Amino acid sequence: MLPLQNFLRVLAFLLSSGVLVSCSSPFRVTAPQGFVVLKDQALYDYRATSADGVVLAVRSIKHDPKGDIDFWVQAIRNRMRGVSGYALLATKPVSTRGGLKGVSMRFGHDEGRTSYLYDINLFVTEKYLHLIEFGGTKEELVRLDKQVAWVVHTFEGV
Amino acid sequence: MSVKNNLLSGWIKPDRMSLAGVPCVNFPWLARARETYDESPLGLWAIAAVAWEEVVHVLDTAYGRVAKTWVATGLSVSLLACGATSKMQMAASAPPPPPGAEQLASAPGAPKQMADPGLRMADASSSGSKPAPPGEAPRVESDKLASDAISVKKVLIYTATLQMAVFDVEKALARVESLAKDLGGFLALRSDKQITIRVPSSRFEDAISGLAVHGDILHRDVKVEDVTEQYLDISLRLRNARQVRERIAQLLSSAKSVEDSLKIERELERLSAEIERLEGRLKYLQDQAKFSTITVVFQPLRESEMKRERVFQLPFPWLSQLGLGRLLNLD
Repeated sequence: MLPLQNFLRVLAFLLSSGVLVSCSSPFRVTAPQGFVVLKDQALYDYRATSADGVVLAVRSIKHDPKGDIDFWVQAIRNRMRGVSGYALLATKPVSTRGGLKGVSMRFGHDEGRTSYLYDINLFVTEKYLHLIEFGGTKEELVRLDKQVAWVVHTFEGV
Repeated sequence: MSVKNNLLSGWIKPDRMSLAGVPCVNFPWLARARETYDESPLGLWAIAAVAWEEVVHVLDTAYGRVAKTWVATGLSVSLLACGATSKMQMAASAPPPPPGAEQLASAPGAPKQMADPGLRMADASSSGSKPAPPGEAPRVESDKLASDAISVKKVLIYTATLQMAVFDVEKALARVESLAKDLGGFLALRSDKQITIRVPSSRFEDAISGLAVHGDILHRDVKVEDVTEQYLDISLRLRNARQVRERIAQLLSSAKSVEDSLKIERELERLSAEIERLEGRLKYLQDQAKFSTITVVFQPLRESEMKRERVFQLPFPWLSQLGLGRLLNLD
């Protein structure tokens, strides 16, 4: 009986561990000072906002089918420029303190008579495409440039 | 009847001079014979031999050996001159260029560049000739084509429609307008999301490059329309209409009845309207060719336009969820 009990204990431990692993988030992000994290997000895995309307959001999308970072960067550019009419203002490489390497794209778009900026930071790993998005009025997002850079730098993803 | 009398009475008629200035005596029978043997020097000499025999026979009986020698020598020289100049005469008798060809460059409203011999436009269909088979030089046809050729430069109309990213539109509109003025152009139309400028055709490329600096060009549609044929056609019709109006106006002064005068005036009125219409059309073409039209649109493609343009889209739903609309909507 003893060996059977031990077996069941080990099995229960393994199953519970697996459930925990599968439920855990594939990324860790820290909201900058002055931001509030929003709960119960449907479209995004994480979303936070500043009092002045700058919004930070993170999505981790299963990396399937596989593609290299150049493919996904071009796919995003084409979508935002060709279909949505956004202006591509800048593209630059970014990296996290954990060693993840990605690409940051800054787009511009007018909503009504106001000019907005929209940043997409893309990190491609074996399992996920991590998207860190920032949006806000041109003035506000430029003002928070350092906080934006800090969020990207401290991002962790698997 | 003597031979001298025969000469004076027109049996031998020197009816024209050769191009070289040497008298070219045309016998009626010789002229017919020359038409048959025009291309063959041997044929011409055969005719000369026949003529020689005939003349010698007549002179020998009438004037004796000395006159026979002089006349025979003169005839030989004349025949040689005729043979030598026959090619030149054939070239000179080629059909003249069409009446409009040399006057087209000086036609009212015609651009100066049309007189430029740099480019040539030959209308092969108007010559009515079939294309020469490969390897065979189409001599006469090519001469006719050359005579039909009109020295003309291309008349081209450049138009471009640029779809630019919707960002900083107010400032971008002002920059586009400023660019047009800097390039010697002007503003044609401006609204909230669209601006049309006209720039000199010579600065068309500069304008497109300049716009790329001031914004993100998402789509560009550049068209070049060749209106040379249309331009020449209108120019010719305008010139002809003016000439006809001048002639009819002259008729008016010599009209003998009121009815005639009224008819002429009606025709003059119709021609004047036609001339005005042609002048307007010509002016429009000149203006379009002189200034390129560039329209800049600040709005994304609509769904219907994307289908028409067949914009490629990847089958990943998350791509369509990107954008400020969803990100900033906190409801």
